[in-house]
Amino acid sequence: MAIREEGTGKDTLVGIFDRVISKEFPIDQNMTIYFRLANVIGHYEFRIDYVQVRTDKILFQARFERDFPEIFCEYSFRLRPPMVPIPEPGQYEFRLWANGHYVGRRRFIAEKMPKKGGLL
Amino acid sequence: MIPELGGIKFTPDRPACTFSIPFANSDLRDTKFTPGQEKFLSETKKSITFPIDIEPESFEIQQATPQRFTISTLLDDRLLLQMPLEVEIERENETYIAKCGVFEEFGYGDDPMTSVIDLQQTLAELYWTLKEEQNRLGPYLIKIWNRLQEVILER
Repeated sequence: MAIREEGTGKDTLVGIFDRVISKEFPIDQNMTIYFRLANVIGHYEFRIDYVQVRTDKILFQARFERDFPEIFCEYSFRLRPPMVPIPEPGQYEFRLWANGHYVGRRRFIAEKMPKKGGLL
Repeated sequence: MIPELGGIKFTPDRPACTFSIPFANSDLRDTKFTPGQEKFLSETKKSITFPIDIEPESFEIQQATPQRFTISTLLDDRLLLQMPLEVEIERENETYIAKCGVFEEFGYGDDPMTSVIDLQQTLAELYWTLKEEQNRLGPYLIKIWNRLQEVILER
């Protein structure tokens, strides 16, 4: 969750994770995507691809545009996609593209919760 | 300009209300600064937050990694790319190879974007190595070093 302090405008991120553990799959996960950009000026068209790494398939895509009038700024983005699908255990990543250029990615791992009772 | 990613995080959340406050430092937007103040601002940097809500939409599943695309960063905080670099992705058995033809450099990984990260790190290492050895380079590496300086800028 991204919490914004009104007085200072500072963001605080709560509950950062890189792993999702579930008893069963497929699941849909609520999440907020937060990222910061520097060294931008002018108009940009952004795309975020949500990708299942094993199949290299896009499961979800978001497109948006923004103007950046000042270069001496760092710009933060909070994106709230609808439910993010996790069809099976494995690796998933968000890839950020700006004006068609690849900027970066962040990955998380989905795991199945082990059954209780220990080894057979 | 080519944007660089300062940080990207994702946090579990409730699908609650829409954020509606677009600018964090809007009181500074119309202010004129002296050169000294500009320098101070460039060092401290203001911060602006954009809240974005994504509407659900139908989407046809497609291949995520194009065979050719351009990268805009080198994953080295000391270096900036002045222009995008073209990358070509190839696959050999279970290994993905990211190739930068301009510098004849390669990155390897178990998946496409991991190979791109390896390539980005390789190019940054190449820059620093050639910079250190620039007085002892042969003609071919001098050509590469000159090209690197056209593309990469130190902060």
